[in-house]
Amino acid sequence: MLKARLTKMWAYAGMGLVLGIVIFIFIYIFAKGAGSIDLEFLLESPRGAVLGMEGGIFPAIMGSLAFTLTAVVLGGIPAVATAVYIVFICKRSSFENIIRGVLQCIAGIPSIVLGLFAYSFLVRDLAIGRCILASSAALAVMIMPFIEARVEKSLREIPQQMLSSSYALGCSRGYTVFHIALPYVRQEIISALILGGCFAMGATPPLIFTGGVAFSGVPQTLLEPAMALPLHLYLLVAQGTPSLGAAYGTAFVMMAVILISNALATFYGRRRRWK
Amino acid sequence: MEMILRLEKVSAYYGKKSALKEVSMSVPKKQITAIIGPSGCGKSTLLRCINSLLSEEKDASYTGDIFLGEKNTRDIEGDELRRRIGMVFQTPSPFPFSVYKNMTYAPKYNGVHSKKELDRIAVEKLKMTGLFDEVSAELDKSALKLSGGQQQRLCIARALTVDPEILMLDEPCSALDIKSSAIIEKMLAELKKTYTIIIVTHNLAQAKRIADRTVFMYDGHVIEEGPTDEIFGNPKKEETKDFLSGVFG
Ligand SMILES: Nc1ncnc2c1ncn2[C@@H]1O[C@H](COP(=O)(O)OP(=O)(O)O)[C@@H](O)[C@H]1O
Ligand SMILES: [Mg+2]
Repeated sequence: MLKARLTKMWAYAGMGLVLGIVIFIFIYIFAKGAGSIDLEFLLESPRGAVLGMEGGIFPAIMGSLAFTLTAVVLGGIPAVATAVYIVFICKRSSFENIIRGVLQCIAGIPSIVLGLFAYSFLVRDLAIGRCILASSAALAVMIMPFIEARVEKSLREIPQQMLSSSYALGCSRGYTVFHIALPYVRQEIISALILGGCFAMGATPPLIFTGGVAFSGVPQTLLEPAMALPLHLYLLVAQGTPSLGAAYGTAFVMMAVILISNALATFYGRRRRWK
Repeated sequence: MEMILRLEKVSAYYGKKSALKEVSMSVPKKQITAIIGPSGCGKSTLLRCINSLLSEEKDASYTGDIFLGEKNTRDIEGDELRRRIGMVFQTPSPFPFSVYKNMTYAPKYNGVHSKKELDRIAVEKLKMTGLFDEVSAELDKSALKLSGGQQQRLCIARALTVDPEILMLDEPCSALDIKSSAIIEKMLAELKKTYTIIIVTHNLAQAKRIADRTVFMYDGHVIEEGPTDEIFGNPKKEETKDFLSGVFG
């Protein structure tokens, strides 16, 4: 009896603590950052004796968008393909386990190592230079296992009889995948891509050697470097007191973007399909 | 009596676990063959061997020979085999799109694209299952909005869109009420003029009503097969007698 009650209390306390911390962080950041937010902050470039003290973060917002979208495209396509392969095509569980092991390894690589790899392989060896594409490649590798796991889970939840019905009509796996399976989980895929995007947007290490810079304009192509929100935030804090207000403002914008995206992803994931 | 399908010593495995043990049986053309037996005895597995759906499954396999007409099914491409041997499952599983799209899904895969031809197939097969009069006004409505019985008849009609020679049904009525089951039974009696039908059923009375031939399975073996009257009226094996008198199952 006592033991059960203690366990319960422990669970509640843990949950309360975690929830409390999360809410506190959000309130803290929003309270500190809200003051810096205005149209100028959102729509202008950083300026000032200490960079970022004045002006805004517009190039960083656009840069982050570019990094994230490119990473989602580069990481999402192989992620969905891998999930389809594991669930529909691979017929041997032993081989499936090998793929799963590899994915887990990738998920475990520290993101700074991915950054280093992208730097030495793409930026130096292939000589594409420091650019969005190089950074996004590193980010893509980082979010690939994350997206794959979610897509795979949703593919496995498709009613087996529906897929079997398609095979039983003499339709191939490919036809079944493209006409039944993928449309069926379309919303889960979108939701997985959005969450993967959030993950990529918050990551700094893969950017620092490869394509993220302290100052630049709004990027015009994928082959030039760009500013990014988390990197900008890091630099603002590193410069100390004069730019600290702007740092909170930047954090505010990032958290807002991520909150909204998460809400969108949840909304998409929940809405039942094809009713 | 012409046999359209012959199984010779078919064994099936899920991993190392054996689910069918040297099953031999045959299926007469344009008749209804019922497969009965307690659950877990391998009825569904048997159907999945016949249309080779089993080899699409992870870690599952089967041995032995199955002849469709004169041809060993191992010499027929899986997709082609499944086109020739249709299958309907236990829970009605219409694709989650419109009734019409359900009916054109497989013909389109087979390269039929003219609207006229697709319409013809859809109407003809819906009529065969008696569904046409009920849904003709709402072919564009989601198939998921139909009642359970209608959904199952849609699945049967959908299986017919590729003109199979054999139609296999795996406990097609077990999720349906008595009235819907009766409609399906009547329909099957009609369909056997055109198709060979194999039906797995839990419902012994149903087997007795509609089947020309009955196969009794137990623990992965075919214990007894023969004309329905004989199996029910004069079973030869102890297991069959026990099963029919409700000792197990
Ligand atoms: N996908 C599967 N993986 C492993 N074992 C299975 C699978 N499907 C069926 N089996 C096993 O094979 C045996 C026969 O199953 P099944 O053919 O579904 O029986 P029935 O249709 O007569 O109820 C059962 O013991 C069942 O547990
Ligand atoms: Mg079964």
